[in-house]
Amino acid sequence: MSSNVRALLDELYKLHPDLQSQEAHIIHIIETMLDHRPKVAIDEWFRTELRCKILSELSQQQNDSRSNFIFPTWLFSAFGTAFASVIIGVFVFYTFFPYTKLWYLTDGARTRGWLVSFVPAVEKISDHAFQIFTPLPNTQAKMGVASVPMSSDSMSSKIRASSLAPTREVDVPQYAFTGSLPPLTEKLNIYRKKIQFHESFQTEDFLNGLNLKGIKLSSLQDANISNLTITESWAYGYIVTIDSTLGSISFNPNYDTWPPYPKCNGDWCDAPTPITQEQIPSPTKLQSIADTFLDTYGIDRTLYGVPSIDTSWDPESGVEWGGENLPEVLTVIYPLLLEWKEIFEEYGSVRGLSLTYDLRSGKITNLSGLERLSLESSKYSPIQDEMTLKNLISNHGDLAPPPISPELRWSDISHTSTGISQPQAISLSSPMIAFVHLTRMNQQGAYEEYFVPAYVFSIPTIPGNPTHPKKIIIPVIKEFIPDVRTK
Amino acid sequence: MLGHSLQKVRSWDFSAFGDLYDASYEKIYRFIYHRTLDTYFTEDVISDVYMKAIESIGSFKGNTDAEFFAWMYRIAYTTLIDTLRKSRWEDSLEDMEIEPGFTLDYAHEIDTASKLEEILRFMETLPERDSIILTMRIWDDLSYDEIATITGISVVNAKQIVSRTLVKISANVTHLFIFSILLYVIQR
Repeated sequence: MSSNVRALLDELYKLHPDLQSQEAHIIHIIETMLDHRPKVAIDEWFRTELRCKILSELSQQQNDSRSNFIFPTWLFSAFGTAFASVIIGVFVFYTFFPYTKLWYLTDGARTRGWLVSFVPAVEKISDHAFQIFTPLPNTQAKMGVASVPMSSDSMSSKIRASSLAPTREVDVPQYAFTGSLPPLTEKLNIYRKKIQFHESFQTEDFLNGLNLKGIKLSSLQDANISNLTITESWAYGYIVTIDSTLGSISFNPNYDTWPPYPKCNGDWCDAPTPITQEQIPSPTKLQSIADTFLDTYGIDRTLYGVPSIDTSWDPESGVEWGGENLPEVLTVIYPLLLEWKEIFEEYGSVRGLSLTYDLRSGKITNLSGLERLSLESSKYSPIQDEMTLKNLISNHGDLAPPPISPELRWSDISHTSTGISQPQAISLSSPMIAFVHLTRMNQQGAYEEYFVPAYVFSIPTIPGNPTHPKKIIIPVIKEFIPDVRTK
Repeated sequence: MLGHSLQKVRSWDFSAFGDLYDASYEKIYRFIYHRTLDTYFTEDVISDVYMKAIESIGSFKGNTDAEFFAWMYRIAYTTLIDTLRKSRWEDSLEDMEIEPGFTLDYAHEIDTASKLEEILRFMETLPERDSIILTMRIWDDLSYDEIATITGISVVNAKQIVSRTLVKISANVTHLFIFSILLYVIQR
């Protein structure tokens, strides 16, 4: 008998001592109730959708309450006088101090209640709706996968197969996973990215939310503008590029307003001094700087996971830092979440909001990866057979990350051993379930982008091989794996 | 843990409500589902719960996790009672849908409608609040203090209701199969 049942009985007997004679029957009832406690399966898609709607509603309420605020009539005259004084003051101030910011410009957008929320727009469509998955031709040709045969009359495949480009040959380690894989539900969502020109940025909410230091972007809403560049002219200003075709916003320094480094005098420039350890902020401090930057521009952080900080320069990180000097910049990445899961590129890097911190100026210099996704979701049955999955793992999946550089796709690399040394055997620890961003060609020959559920394994640091990939990613939907989908 | 997020929400940083949502969603979902046994119904109710929560978060004065969860449970409880009362008259035996997975083991044993009708008649004698409080104690493992806070009754009263409901079930249900059916019906 569990302590829970015992506690319930004790409580019961205090009030009804005579029931002790029926203890066996009552225990049966309580235990039956406990045994029949309903099993709860939470739909993560609904959970995420509701969260987004609630945060969006809150943001709307905030804006409404601001716009609905009514000044008492008697304040109008006083406010008008004060406002005129301030305008005159600002004019005089900026005449003499043109590169100084006023308090309200440095104040965060968040404190004013403006938030730009990049909630993905998801349209649910029927199960197994994405019917066209043609693997990249060069993936098959170079990997030699026993797979869906490419159409023999495909000119492009012939060209690719006979490409003169040299194939890199590398030693590929053997991966081994002996544990139990995390279970998958019967159906999983696959997301396909929709291309929607203009639409992403022409919603009133979005433009109202993006209040770039007083610039009212919503006034441009009807102008059918697809790309917009805003240049901040004050000290340490940014060039903000809004691309409504891609649904993205990026920040880069407006270097005209940043102090030059190194300092130059005519043809002579000072020699750059190496970065010192003292100039490198702690991870906590760096995250705080990144958070503040996002808050200042009112960029909603709630859609992202816990940020990761680049610590590869630190000897204690266990990563072999390739450079002799300490880095000039550090990167903070806020992982974008889909169904509360991270999204990885097929070569293993996290997709998300990336901020670059410049150690010399002590400022955030770049922001990229801020995007508003428009997606279609369709449910698919994942591969449940553990043996098939483990074979995929040992064969590096179809999408293992490149061992040489992130710019090089795995499909461009030969899997054959060079014969120079014996392949290393690497044991993998338990994976997480996440999404992988994959590109596939449709029947019309156009590339489409998908977010596909996958097992993601972290690969331990391999001494003497700092460029070895950090992740191995195994998509679990057979339509994305050529050698599985034919079986 | 949640005190910081509550403070942020009070200072108009509503994005911090996401933290409160994350911390409470599963608890509230379970709480509602245990009483509805229907995914779609639960999703409807939980949407209403969070909409009410954001409407009244300004008036919530608590600072601790326990206070916040009790407040959320209370909203869920009142929303659930309201929704059940509104929807009850629409329900009938004919359109009762049994969720796969939960009732699979014994649903096929419902051989005659008369048995079910008998149970339904018995269920009508149990106050709605009592069955909810009983399952709060047994399924949600909430303490009597928490139940009292959520439902607005005293701790002693909560204990009495749990005991009284168990006694009623004990007296009326002699067959465990019937009781299994009862467990399903009690939540309708």
